[in-house]
Amino acid sequence: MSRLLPYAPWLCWIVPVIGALLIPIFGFFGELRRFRDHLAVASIGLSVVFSLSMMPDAFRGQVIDLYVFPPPLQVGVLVDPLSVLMACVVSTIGLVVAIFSAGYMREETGRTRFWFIMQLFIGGYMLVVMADNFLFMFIGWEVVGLCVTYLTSFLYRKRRKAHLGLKVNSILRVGDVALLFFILVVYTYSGTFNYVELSKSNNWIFELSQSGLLLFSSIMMFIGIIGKAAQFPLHEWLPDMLVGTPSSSNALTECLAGPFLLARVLPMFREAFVSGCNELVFFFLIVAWIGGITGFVTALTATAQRHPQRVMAYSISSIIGYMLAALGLAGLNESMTSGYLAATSILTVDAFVSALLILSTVYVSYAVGSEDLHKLGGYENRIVHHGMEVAVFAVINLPPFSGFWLSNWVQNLALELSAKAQGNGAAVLVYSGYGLFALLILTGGVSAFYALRVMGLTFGGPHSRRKLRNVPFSMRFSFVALLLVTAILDLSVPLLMPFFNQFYLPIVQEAVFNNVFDVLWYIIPSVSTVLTIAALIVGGYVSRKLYIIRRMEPDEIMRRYPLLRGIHGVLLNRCYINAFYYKVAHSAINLSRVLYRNVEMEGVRRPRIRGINEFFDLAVRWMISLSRGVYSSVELGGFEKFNRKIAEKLTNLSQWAYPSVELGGFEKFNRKVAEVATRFSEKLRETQTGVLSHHMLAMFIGIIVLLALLLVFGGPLGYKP
Amino acid sequence: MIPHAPLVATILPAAAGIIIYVVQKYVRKTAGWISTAVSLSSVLLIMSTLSQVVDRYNSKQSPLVFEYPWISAVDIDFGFLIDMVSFPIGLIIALVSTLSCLYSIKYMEKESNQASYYANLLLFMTGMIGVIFSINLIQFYLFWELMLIPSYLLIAQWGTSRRRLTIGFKYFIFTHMGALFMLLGILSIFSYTMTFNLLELPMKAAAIPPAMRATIFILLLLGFFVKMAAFPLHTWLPDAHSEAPTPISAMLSGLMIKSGAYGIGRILISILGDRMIQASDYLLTLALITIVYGGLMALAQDDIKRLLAYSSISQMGYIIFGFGTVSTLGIMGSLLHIINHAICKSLLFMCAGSLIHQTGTRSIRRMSGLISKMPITGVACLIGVFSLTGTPPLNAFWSEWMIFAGGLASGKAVFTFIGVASTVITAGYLLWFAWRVFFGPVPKAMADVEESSTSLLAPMIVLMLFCIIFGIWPGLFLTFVTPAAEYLSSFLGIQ
Repeated sequence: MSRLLPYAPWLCWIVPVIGALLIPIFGFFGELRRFRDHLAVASIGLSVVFSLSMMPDAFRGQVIDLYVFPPPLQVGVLVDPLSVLMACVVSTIGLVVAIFSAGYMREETGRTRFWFIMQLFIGGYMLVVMADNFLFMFIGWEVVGLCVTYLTSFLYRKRRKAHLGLKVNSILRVGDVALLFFILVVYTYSGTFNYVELSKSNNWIFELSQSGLLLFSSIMMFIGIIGKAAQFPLHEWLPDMLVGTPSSSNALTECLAGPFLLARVLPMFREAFVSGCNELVFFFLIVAWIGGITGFVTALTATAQRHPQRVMAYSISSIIGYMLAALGLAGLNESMTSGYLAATSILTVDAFVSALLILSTVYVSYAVGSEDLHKLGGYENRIVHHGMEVAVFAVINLPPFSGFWLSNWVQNLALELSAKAQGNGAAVLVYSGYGLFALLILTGGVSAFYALRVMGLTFGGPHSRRKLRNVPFSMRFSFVALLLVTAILDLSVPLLMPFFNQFYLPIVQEAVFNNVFDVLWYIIPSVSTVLTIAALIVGGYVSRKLYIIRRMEPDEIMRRYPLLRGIHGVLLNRCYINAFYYKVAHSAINLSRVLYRNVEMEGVRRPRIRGINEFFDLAVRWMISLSRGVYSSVELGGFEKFNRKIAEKLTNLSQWAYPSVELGGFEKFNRKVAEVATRFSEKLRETQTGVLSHHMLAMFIGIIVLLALLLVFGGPLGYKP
Repeated sequence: MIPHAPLVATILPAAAGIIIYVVQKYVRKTAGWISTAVSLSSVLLIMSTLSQVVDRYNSKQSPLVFEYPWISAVDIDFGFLIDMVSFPIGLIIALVSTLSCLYSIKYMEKESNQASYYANLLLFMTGMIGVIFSINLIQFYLFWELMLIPSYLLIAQWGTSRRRLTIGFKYFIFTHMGALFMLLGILSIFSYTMTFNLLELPMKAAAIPPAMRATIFILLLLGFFVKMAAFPLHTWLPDAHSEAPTPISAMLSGLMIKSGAYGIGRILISILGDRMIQASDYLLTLALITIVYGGLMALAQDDIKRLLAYSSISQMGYIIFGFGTVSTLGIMGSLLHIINHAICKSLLFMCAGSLIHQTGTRSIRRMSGLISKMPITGVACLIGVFSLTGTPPLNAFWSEWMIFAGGLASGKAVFTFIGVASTVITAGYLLWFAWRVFFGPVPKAMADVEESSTSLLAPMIVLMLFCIIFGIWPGLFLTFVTPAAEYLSSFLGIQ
């Protein structure tokens, strides 16, 4: 028996998509134009209602896989704790952002476009969350990517911002391609995309392992996740995106889809790892280390940025680093439960914390009308101030706020790994545990520095007398709502933990934290808490001196210490990773141009090698000239000439033969014959005298001649002896 | 079903073309509309066979065949074979030709010799439909050459630059040489099996001695590869496709080069399946080289149409890849990609035509920020671009993943990885192109550019909707393509 609203798992993502399709119609007709904002807010609001209605089922630990089967593929949605919780988080933040944006975008042009993209964005994101199979999820994944691209290029008339969209898409594409490869590998070895069927049997993982593809393809999946979650080394798209978009939409931290997917896949991998796929240890190590490194590098980079949204971007990357570290450690440790719960609760809480942090900077930027941290100073507004405090205290790991509990938790996991590995004697794991622990502590210190810096620069400093923009009601309202929700979540993490454990029981399958004291006992008595607070004090002290009470001038210090200046330069340039991307892109384009010139078209000058196109052009031309050559030399010069010769010879022959043979020979002979005959007959005529005696004499002579002939040749004349 | 539908559908455009040419004094301006109507009726005729094709497949009867006595001395009939393989490809060819025809009305408005242009276009269309529906190889060859002649004339007569005669000649010589290799292969097959019939050949093909099978395979492949412009036989394509008037480019790039792919699917797989399996690795290597090389060449272009032409070469690489995997999924992907690429590439060529028509330049460098000036062209072009880069839920995504899943299914993980990775290049050149043209500030020279007229936009909108509809509901074409792929792969002895 399920209690959810009918078709809620479908409608929660379809409704925003339908809203998106309706928006152009609303934008087209002048009358309906006024209701664009209302439509968008309503569709996202409905999505929230549908998401929340799934909660009771998820509480009771039900896993419902709803699917339909239009050819060629089965598509479906999955209702399980992870998806339901994430759906609620995404849709709620989506609603807040939508209401906030309704005010923020009030005076902008192109709101039809904006709402179209926003609703599609939320629809796609909900699809990522709700999908019950990889392929369906990938569709949502790409839709989100597309929306991110388009939002970044929203102000497309500015060359710089338009360009950022292209860049964002290119970087995301790298991750997407890798993820697609993993999905195809899974499909080939298991014959299905469906999560439920995949987790039912892990034969496919063993087959993959036997074919030697397991580690490679799992790393491909991780690259996909890195791309979306803005992790090192593919994290540079996020700052560009947040700078490019209309800032109010930034709070929809779509990067969380990355850790969400990892949380989805991790139990399958973990099970295979436990039952013998040992190469996965490298996968988990890579996950944990990438998380740790990103956390540290991005936190450091955040310290030097001037654009508030850029700081926010690095802050998001940094916090997601914690999640990945927790998930990696969950795979490696004795029991998955602790790490998995840590990661998913960071996922839930951080979504709100980051959203609040971003909205508070956007709020200030909107009111002051500047997007430079150094020009914001002296803004006074108690609500925003408190809002930022709630978020910042979580980020800097101040004790009762969420950050303190959660980061200590992850650090404990790292120590746990070392302790466990010491027993097994695996040196890599021991060092990894300690290394990650140290890195996370340092990250905490750096986070304290940059978060307090933002706060100090925003609210500290002399009160300026600038004219402030009036902030619309919808912005204030949504901000306060978000502030309340976040504050509750932020302060009640230890209370929430046992509840989370219960909630995730279908996935983690064991109850580790049964009440608050289990949680406290797990986290507090540890070296980690001490070091975390120490790091907070150091980082916070420096930041306070520099930016809050402003005893020291940062520029002054820079001048004094060249090393610091150098480091600051590197950080300001975003560790040159951005420059590296450009280098790669430029090299690719240059390569293609060089190939086009030297291989395709003209070829190489020295030694002369023709390009392919030119070669074939020449071949065609050569064929024509060959035929011309053949025509002139063989046809005209050879056969034709020979024929002419023969003709000439024949003519000559005939010319010679006619007079000499025809006329001189036959003709002459004939004439001769005629003449002789004539002469002979003339002579004979003389004998015709008419005298009888002459005739008698002639006859007599004739008889004698005949007789003589008979006697000589006739033989015996019938006589037979 | 209308009686003799395939015969009429094939011959009607040619006949109408000749009539238009003869009575050109009387038709004048209406030639375009008449041709559009004729090609549309050809579409409807093909559509009318739909239910029979499906019924016959479902009830496991022999496919739909129409035969007319032809050369009785050697027992060759003139016939048409309509089954799951040929039906969708024939349909899409007729459909896109119709749209190109419609597009030409406005685009070619100011050109001379209208009647002769449309006559050639319709003859060209007959050639393509005939190739796809031919039941025997000799008829296949005849129609194959029939495609060549009108398209040569279209390039040489209505080409856009001074080089059009040279380029037309190169195109003619290349394709004709390829066709001759193919003819040699076809005649060799005949000498051993004494039949040209495509349905009988698979059974009788065992009579060909093994050494000869390899030779025939290579001869036929050469013919198809020239048509498909596989590396390094591709150089006629960028020249010809960028030279032809845009509606013809859309047909050349979207449809004509697919006849080579159809040949691989229909002839090589069913008759020489064993050689196909043997050649798998070589085909995949060639496919990857074609994908990467075509993509890199496209990245270097400044001329819109030339960029799209190189992109076609690269996309043909995907189709070769799918067939080269010799797996059901790969073949399915390739057959589907024939259709999807036809839609996307014709759409992109039409967008390019619209841009060229309105801005008067072909250079990407001179264009910028045009989406605010030409919003519909811009959206259509972006949809085409995203579809070709394999972004779900647009149509080409489905065929692309099937092609690569086919590679994995036949255990070619390394090839597949390189193939999947090279889609980044595809995304790179297409997105870079779209961004440079449509985003950014509008240059002064283009301040008063306007959106194209409706008759140019209408075919583009139709194709754009196809991109979206077939993306959201891939089953529409997969109902044909899946059985087709199963049918073809049954000759390979694989599951």
